[in-house]
Amino acid sequence: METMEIQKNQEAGTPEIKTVMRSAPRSAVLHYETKVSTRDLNLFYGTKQALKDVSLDIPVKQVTAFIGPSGCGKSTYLRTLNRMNDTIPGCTITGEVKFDGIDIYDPKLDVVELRKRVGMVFQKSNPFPKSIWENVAYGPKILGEKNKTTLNEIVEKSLRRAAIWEETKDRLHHSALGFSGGQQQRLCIARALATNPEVILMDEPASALDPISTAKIEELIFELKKEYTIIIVTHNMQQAARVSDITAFFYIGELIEVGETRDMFTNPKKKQTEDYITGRFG
Amino acid sequence: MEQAATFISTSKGSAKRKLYGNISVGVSGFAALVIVSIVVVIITTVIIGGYKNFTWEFLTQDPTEGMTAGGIFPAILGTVIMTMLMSVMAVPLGTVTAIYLSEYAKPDSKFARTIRFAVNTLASIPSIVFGLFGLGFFVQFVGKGMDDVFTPGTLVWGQPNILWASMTMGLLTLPVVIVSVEEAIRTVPREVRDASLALGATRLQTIRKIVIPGSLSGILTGMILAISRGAGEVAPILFTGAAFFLPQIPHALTSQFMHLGYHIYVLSTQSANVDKTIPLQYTTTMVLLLLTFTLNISAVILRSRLRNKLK
Amino acid sequence: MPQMPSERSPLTLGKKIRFFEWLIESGIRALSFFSFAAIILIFIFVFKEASPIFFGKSEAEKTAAKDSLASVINSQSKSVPDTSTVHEKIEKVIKGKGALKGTDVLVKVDEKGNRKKVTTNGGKVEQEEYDPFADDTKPSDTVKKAEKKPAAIKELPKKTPAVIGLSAKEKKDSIQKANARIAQAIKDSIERAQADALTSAKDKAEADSIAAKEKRDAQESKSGTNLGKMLIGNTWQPVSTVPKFGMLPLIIGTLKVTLISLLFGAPLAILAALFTSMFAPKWLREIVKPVIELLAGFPSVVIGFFALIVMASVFQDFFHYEFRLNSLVGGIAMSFAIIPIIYTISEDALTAVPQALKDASTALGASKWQTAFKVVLPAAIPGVFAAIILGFGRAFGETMIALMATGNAPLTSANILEPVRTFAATIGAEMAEVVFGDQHYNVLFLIGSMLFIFTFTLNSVVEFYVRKKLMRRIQGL
Ligand SMILES: Nc1ncnc2c1ncn2[C@@H]1O[C@H](COP(=O)(O)OP(=O)(O)OP(=O)(O)O)[C@@H](O)[C@H]1O
Ligand SMILES: [Mg+2]
Repeated sequence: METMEIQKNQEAGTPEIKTVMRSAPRSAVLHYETKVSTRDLNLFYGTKQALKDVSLDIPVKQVTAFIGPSGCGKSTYLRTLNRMNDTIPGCTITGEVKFDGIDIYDPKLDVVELRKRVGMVFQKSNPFPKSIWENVAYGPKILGEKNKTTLNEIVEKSLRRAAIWEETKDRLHHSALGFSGGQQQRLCIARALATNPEVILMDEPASALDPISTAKIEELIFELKKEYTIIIVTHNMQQAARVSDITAFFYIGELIEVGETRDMFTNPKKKQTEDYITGRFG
Repeated sequence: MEQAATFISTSKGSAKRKLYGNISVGVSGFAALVIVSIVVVIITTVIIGGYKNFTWEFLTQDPTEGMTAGGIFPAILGTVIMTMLMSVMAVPLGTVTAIYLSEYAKPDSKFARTIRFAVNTLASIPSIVFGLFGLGFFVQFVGKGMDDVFTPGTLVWGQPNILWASMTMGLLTLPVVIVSVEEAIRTVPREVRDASLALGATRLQTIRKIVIPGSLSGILTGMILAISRGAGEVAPILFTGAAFFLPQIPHALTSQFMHLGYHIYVLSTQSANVDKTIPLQYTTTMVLLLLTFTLNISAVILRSRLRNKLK
Repeated sequence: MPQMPSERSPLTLGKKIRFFEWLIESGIRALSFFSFAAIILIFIFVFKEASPIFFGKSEAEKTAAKDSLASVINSQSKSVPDTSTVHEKIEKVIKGKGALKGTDVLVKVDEKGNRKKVTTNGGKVEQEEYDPFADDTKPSDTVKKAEKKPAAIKELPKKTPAVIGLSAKEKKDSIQKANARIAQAIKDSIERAQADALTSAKDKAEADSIAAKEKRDAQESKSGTNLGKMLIGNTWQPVSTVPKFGMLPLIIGTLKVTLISLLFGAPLAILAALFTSMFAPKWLREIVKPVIELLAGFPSVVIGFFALIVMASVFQDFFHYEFRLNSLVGGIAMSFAIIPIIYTISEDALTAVPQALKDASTALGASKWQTAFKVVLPAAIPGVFAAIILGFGRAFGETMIALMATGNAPLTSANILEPVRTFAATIGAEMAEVVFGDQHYNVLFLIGSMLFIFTFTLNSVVEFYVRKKLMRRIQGL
């Protein structure tokens, strides 16, 4: 399995991916410092339960991957972490979600402050119907940055990190909607990076990307890990294996198993996990 | 007969069935044809009766010889000023209400349902009742009240004028604005809104920077439709400010004004010399139709663009 | 650069205070409440002006009446028989009773012998605005009241009671306020006007006795026992020696026009909706639909104009009946206004019927028309019903078409070829000439309140009953 990936990555011209695999920490989950923790999280869309008693700790400055069959609640869980489910009418949540030890569902919490710290890349790319520059500068402007040169710097840096600078540098003031789906998704990543969040939630960021861009994104994730806590949803087992330190497996709203990626993929404890990873269902 | 009524006819009844089919298509098609011809007949009659007088002079000159000759410039100007004042009131208020309904209100909350019901009711109240309200509220209550406070003993605001007429009309066109702006706001995709919120923008920032720019065309459509409605309605201004003939064009908010629709009404029913002014009536009607059509058609085009965007 | 995450202060509890946002959001919330407030305000203020009928006059209204008297004097009519529009005039005079008086306020004869009448608005316009022909007619053209009024009385006997009635009423009002200085002046001028108008001593005596009688009547009507009688009577004659506010002719007129418009418009609109939603090929639908929707954009005054100038004559030439303007012409003109409403809502309801249902019917071997009439139409019935109700409401309250095309005579006949007068048209025609705050004024507002309550009820029925039923039907099937 490992050889196959390395081959693939070499084709794409990114040998660094190897390093990702090698440097994956081997310590047990319990030894990480926790950034976000959830306890007994239940979520209902109306009367339909989408999450059942999910308890999970997300380690700081690590990459946590969520895997699971479609409709199992990965995106839903992700959205509870920056309270984006608030915008869905009829959505109710019970349980506890703590960010740096603060209960984010506390009525006293300022949800805007939370969202400034938790960036998100959505499953479906959603650039604003504005120029590339406006898209990336939107977040910093919201945070109060007015200086044009600083904004230009941020825009360039973010676009570079999201591996889209070369394609956009001459078209910064063109509408973002004129770019391809893959480019738009990378733009959304750049947009999320521009505000320098503490946690980045990525909902299938590479699902619409070609192998080269995917590799670049994976490289970026590895890079970002030094500063940020990253959560990534993916349907691509290899990708989860390549980029993540921790993997959590969801199945019909329940968290079935969580552990170090290496252990999960080599030695799953639950039958369902094994079946899913080996592609027997899902 | 019996057979034709059964749901699945036998092969014997198939000739009959075909006949019924043809009849039903024929009858319903005929109904559509009748309606279409009504529209065509009205338009052609008005054009045939009115095109001869439709000159630049007619549009730009004052009426002369006791309204039996000359142009309709004051009526056009009055209509334009009135609809502008009306828009100033109805468009911001309608936009704000639409924003509240689509961005803040929970769809099933009592408050939102009440407002929605109120908007529907407002849209269904007869326009003459708006006229009465304008007279009873703006002229008699607000205007008189202002006079009692500022200029006791004299009538300044306590009589019909262009401001009260515009405000009455603004109320009438409010639901038009609300509905079209709300429709436009709904075309701004949820995902884009979510993206803004997830970046740490507040709800208001999201509305200001994402939602309103995204629904500008809808706000414009609402405005155009409201103007078209306001240009065509006469009943609400009958006793809130319209006048048949004024020596001057409106120069203050307390002036009365001439209005195209009201002009048609008065020329065709109230003037002593209806027959003599018939060509003028036709042309005035033609101008009014032209005005409302241009507005309506541009609104339709804007709207269909909007709907395509939604798809 | 934005701070790196590590440099940022950690997340803490506690809402940030964003004062301006809070202010603006409260503003949005408050303003959005306006539509609701507007409904309440409309109800209150329309009903407030009608309430003296039930509760007697308040001080404020008396003052209002006084204020507007001055302008009423300006509008003392100089009625000159008008022969230039023969059809119109004949209709108005014949069976026009007193109510028609309202429209003619100012009549002038210029050097060419053309007579012009001008209606002023609300009777509160200032003198120079009143005098529309100041620019193009010489002062000498102005015909003096004293000369013309008797002539008017002679030539148009049916109008006389109206003239007297108006004067007497004003006299009554002015007597009530005799101690006020303004009122005194007003009274003087009214009496002058009367002296001009009522040249014969007999008339004068009559007017006096009438004034006295009116006073009694007014007192009686306040006791409330007269109220029901007053409003239910079958004579609508608000401007006469003894004003009669019997609403029966108006009810009959409104129903006649509304029903004719529904009978003519609803089948057409519904059938056309069936045609475009079920039978028409796509290209035809793309033409027919926008054209019908275009009809919705026609200002009602344009439809009224078309009916008055063109349709009425064509119909009369064709059917050879007596009155050019009548409830048939009015009703059919009215249907032009409601056809687009019924069409659009029915079409929506018809296209909302799920495709699966149509497919199922076709799969069972039903032809297109069977599907249309036995499956689609029944499923869409609540929507079509809603369309008819809303069309009904629109026709009921439509003013300009009724005002221009129905002939405006408050008759109680069942004949559809006679002129009628609707509620809305009554308000439109008479409000401009009433004395503010008097009984006639209040009665017109009462009619307005009735229109409001009626359309409100219809709208509520559609909102709460029909829509729910429509949803259930479409979901349940
Ligand atoms: N707004 C919503 N309203 C109602 N139900 C919802 C809503 N969003 C998601 N669901 C339901 O909740 C469940 C979990 O959805 P979710 O989007 O979290 O799945 P997912 O794991 O992200 O799937 P995928 O891999 O396809 O993205 C699904 O059954 C879905 O139908
Ligand atoms: Mg998902």
